[in-house]
Amino acid sequence: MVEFSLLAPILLTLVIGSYETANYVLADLKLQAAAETAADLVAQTPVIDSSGNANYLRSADFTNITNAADQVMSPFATGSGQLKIAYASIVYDSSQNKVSLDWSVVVNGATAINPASLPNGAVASNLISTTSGSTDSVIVVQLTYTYTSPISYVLNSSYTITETAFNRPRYMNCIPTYLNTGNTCP
Amino acid sequence: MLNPFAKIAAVLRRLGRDTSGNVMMIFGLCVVILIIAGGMAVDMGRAYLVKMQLSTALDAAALAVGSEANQTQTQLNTDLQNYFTANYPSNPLSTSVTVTPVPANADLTASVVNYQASATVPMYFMPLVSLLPGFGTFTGFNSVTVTTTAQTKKTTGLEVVLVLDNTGSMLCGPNDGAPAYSDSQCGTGVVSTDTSCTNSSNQSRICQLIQAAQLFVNTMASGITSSEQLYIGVVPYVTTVNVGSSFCSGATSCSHITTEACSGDFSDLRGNIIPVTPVTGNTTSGSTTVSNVSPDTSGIRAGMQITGPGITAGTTVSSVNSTTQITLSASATATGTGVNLTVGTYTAVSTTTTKTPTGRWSAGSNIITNMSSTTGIGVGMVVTSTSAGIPTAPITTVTSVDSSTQIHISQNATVTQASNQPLTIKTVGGTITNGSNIINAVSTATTPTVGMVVSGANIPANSTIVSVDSAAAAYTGGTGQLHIQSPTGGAGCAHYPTATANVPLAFYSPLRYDTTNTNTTSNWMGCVVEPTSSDENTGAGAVLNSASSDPDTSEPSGGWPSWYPFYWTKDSANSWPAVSSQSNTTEIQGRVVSDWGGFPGPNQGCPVPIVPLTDVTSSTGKTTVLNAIGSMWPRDEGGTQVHIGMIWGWRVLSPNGPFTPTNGHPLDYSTAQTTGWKKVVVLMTDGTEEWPAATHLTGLGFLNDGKIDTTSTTTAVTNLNSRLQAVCNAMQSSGDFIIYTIGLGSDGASNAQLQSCPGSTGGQFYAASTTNLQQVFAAIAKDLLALRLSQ
Repeated sequence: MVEFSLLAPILLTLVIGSYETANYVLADLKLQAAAETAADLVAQTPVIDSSGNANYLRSADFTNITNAADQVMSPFATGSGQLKIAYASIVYDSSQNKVSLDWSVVVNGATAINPASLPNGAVASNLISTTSGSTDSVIVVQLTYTYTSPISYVLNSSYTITETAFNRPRYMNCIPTYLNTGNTCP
Repeated sequence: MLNPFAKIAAVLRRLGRDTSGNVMMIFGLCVVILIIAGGMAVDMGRAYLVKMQLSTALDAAALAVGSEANQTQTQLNTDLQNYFTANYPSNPLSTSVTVTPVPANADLTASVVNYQASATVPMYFMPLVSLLPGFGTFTGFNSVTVTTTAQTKKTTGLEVVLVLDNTGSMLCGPNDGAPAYSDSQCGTGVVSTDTSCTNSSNQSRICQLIQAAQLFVNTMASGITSSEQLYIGVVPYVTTVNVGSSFCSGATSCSHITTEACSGDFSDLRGNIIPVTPVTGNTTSGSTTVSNVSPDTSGIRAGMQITGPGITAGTTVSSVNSTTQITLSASATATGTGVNLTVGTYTAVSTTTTKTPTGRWSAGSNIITNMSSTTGIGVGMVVTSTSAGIPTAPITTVTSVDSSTQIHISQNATVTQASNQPLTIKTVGGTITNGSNIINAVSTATTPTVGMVVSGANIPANSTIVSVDSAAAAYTGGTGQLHIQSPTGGAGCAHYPTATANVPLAFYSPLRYDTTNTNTTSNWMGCVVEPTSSDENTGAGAVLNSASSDPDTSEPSGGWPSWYPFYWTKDSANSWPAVSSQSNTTEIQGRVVSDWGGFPGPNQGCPVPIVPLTDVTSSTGKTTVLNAIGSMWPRDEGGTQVHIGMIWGWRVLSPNGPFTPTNGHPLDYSTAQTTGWKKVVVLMTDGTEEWPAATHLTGLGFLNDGKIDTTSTTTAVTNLNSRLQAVCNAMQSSGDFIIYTIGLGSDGASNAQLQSCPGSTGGQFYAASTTNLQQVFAAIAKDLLALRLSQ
């Protein structure tokens, strides 16, 4: 018994430590899936809406996509602003011949996407065709999640993890939103 | 004495019995294995994590490449790398990350593209296995390579038919004021002078439809560039469709069109050589007299076949008694008032009587006045004059005798004669002999020609001239001779007159197909009336269809029947010239009510021809389809039969259909399924099913022809709706078709059949306004070309 009491802390560290690590990795994978889901939902925006008009993303669409990302994170808690999302479209405007931020939507106080300094070291002009006379764009969605461990025996009680997804719009060269003038691409 | 060995043995025995500190020792022995096992789990977990990350990044990169258009292979490869790198975490747990198409030189614009990504994950704990006893020689666990694959699929192999509304309401702008149509609302947004659809501010339905459909073809052609992988057909419809250019190789040689057996001339659903004359009259059961013939008997001659409710099959006209009464060869079997009758028509009539009065006439008028006498002059006699102004081609005839000094003639004079001029008014006639195919002593104003239909008392109906035996002068001199043949009376064509007599004769030229397909032709433009169904009564009685199977709702199993030429001769319901006048300039955009019926003719309501499946991956094929769409124009006839358009869409896609295949297309249904080809119908309409007035000719004939199972126009609309539903259901249940429907405007929105037509295939779209059409067609194109991850 004496020996077990000496060994117990080591064994507990092993058991709880592997649980905490696995849970953290699972949260990271979920966040990655949530980022891809959110970006793909934006990228799949159909050309027309239900009444046949030119489509654009409404404010409500972003709420819905954010809810979808929340669901992907389940069972990890996403309440009280734990999941921050920054949506952005970076577009090549052939009339001005430059790559610039078209629109940006942030949820729960996420840091807005900066086209000059993209995550993962990505360079916008490498992802967008800059052929003169045509429009092209890339959807960037960054998810920032404050991971809180249910037990903080080995690891810290909370970590901030970030995942970013870059998707090309599937059916349009550029996806307009309610933020655009006239709800159309530049 | 102590044996030192015994002492040692005792100590060892005690040690063996002593269990103190055991756990520590066992743990000490196990900890190595525990660490290695736990470490291996961590290693595998990292490899799994890397695989997940690779997979996510590869999917995003593959979709990005697949959604690009008009890029070089090199650029697409670069984009693949860039999108992959952007989506792959910058601080990975791996080395040697690669992403390639499979095979490496694969065509990235192909319909199916495979990709592979792989990475090497270093193993930290796995190599420790070699420390274990007996595993010393174990190597090869320093790293693990993880691989993930993705496959993108774009649709290829498409047979698409565009079934497009060409009804009169397509002349309107975004709003037609339906259901209470009004020109004031119809004209909003329309540039009426823009008949070529080049004015960008013209929002008329037809122009917007042409632009949207052309955009669709261009989008599809730019999305599917592999040779012979995309076939598109076009079906413009009103209540009928135009198959002339598909079925006919000459003026008289058409496949799938009903003809009379002996002469090969086009015939109508009652067996009369077309053109025919519809009239109304009162019949009495048991009596051979038909009274109150309306509008008059001027188009009727003895010997013509007559059909209608209550008239026995094979009945002919025995004599024309007055301008409103005729006698039949057999008694009617029913009594009716104002029943619809059909008789053969004519262009020239006469007896051998010749009258030479004088009279005067005015250019542009069809009245001859101040005549010296009208005694002995009858309706149908030929009018000529040595003075100018009476047309001779076609022959001018007497249409009514008004008084002792005035007659009406069949066409307007071309020169005014203010003083009395000599006239020759004589009948056309000849001598028939019982059992002989020769007509002697023929008197006509001009020489008859081989192929003309000849009518007269005791001459079998649908008799035609097989030889003109005399010189021209003999006919004008009353001594001409003709040989005839006739199909009526049994098998073969050798059926000859049944009496010997001098009889008035009527000649007319049978209908021909206008190979130039002009929309102002007096010949047949190429539109069709649906075939007779197996249970349809084509007899002379009431031609009502009790309909268990209608040929216009499904694909027949035993080959396609023949269609009847759609040719609406001048009759009591219309008063038009022999030439249609519907064109881009007469059918004016923005006017749907005031122009309804304003530009009539025998081909009224006949749209431009169907284009069967055409390979649009070739530039000539694409041009053909684009030009066909560009040539569409509404033909206002007052009716809409969407199901006729839809069934022709099916027929264009049917491997058993009446259209000649191009490169094996339309494909067999089984071949299409095994090779992944899709058969697609895009049905567009701005309206709902609509039967025009009962007396209007439609793709289902006149209302009393019975093809729509009713003689009520209200019930007809109900039945048309169920026919559209039946076509859609049959196409859905066959599982061979993908259906898209587009409803335009308020009527398009309220068309319930349109909404349920696609079922679980394709989809139904609604274009609130004309400006939405382009987006709707673009959405369908995108849907058909949709890019997706398939693995």
